[in-house]
Amino acid sequence: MRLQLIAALAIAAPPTARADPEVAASARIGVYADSDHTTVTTTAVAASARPTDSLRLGAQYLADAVSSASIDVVSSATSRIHELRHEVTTTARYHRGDHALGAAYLYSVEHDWASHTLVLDASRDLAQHAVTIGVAVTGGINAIGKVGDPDLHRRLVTGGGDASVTVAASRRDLLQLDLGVARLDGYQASPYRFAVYGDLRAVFETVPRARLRQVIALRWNHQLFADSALRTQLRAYRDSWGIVSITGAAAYVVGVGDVDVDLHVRGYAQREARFYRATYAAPMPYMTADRELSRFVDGFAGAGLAWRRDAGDAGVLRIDLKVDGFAFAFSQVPAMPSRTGLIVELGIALSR
Amino acid sequence: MTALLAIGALVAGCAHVKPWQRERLAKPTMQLSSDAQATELEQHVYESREGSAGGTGGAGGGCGCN
Repeated sequence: MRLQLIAALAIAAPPTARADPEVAASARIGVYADSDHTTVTTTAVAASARPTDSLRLGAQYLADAVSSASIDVVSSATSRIHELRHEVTTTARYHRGDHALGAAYLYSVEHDWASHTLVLDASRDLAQHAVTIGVAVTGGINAIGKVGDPDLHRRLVTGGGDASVTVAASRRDLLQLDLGVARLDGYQASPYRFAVYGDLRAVFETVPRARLRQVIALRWNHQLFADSALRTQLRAYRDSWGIVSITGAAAYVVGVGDVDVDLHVRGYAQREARFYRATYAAPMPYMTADRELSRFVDGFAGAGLAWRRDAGDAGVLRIDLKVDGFAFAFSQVPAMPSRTGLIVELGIALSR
Repeated sequence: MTALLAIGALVAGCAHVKPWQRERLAKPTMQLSSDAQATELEQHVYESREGSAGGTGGAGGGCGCN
């Protein structure tokens, strides 16, 4: 659900230097490949226009092409899967003076899942634009099926809220505090995944129908010397399933003429859901083999390069390239104690 | 309560930064999200492979450049 909010903001906020261009368009392709024999190619194209001084309308199409022979897939007696997910987002944003109001509708569909999500957000600048407060609410309905089982129909309803305050704390410091809460009600297991107990008896995994998530994040950007900045983030998360996590991230960004170069790292540590077991000795009310619910740590590190050209009335062009390597260490998943991989992204944006 | 105190401290701390003193904060290197579409793809990777979600920031601003 949180991703839908980001998607809405992505289209509503043109990704180039010009504050509020008449028209903007962008495209991005990302390729993810990991040691678990999974490749994901994500392609997104977006466009927005400002028909009046106060109103911006936008749309985005995103496609995820997944090819996987991961241990999850192989354990389901399938050699390799190929999936394609389509996502369409439309947005409207009204901005006048110190106020902004936004609305977005997202539709996502793949062969066994379809979702409808609505996002509403509002923000207001205070203290001569030195402070921005923002709130957002989201609601979504998901219909879940299963390939090969036309009788399986499940439903998941999501809802949540987010509040943030962004502050120019000094001439060199920008701070943002973000609080979020979300509730998920309905089917949250995988219809393809089995949990194993006792003497290798397998059952379809079962998890609680309700999940309440809470998150708090603090971001701090500090301008260093010349045109360079240190961007940091600290995030704490917990939910009603017992997962507790902490995330830390930092990026050093240097602007040299029309080029920005950044080096970034991110670390994440998670405590397992209270019903997760590496092995189940006997049947339990909730049983899962989802390693994303286990105890693990991961780390990402990489570099980015962005080139921006402002040609005056002709518009602004921005091209960026980003490369990241990552590693996961799963202490409770004997079948896959680690996962490593690479992500490469290329983006282009135009506005005028 | 802790969150409210933190918000109060943030807001109180900004009062002395005047619009003409925010030139550095408006630079692209200081943006909280330099490319929102890139942020979306990045969060997509994290949220589909980790057990948590959210906290990636809402409304931007604070630099007088909105």
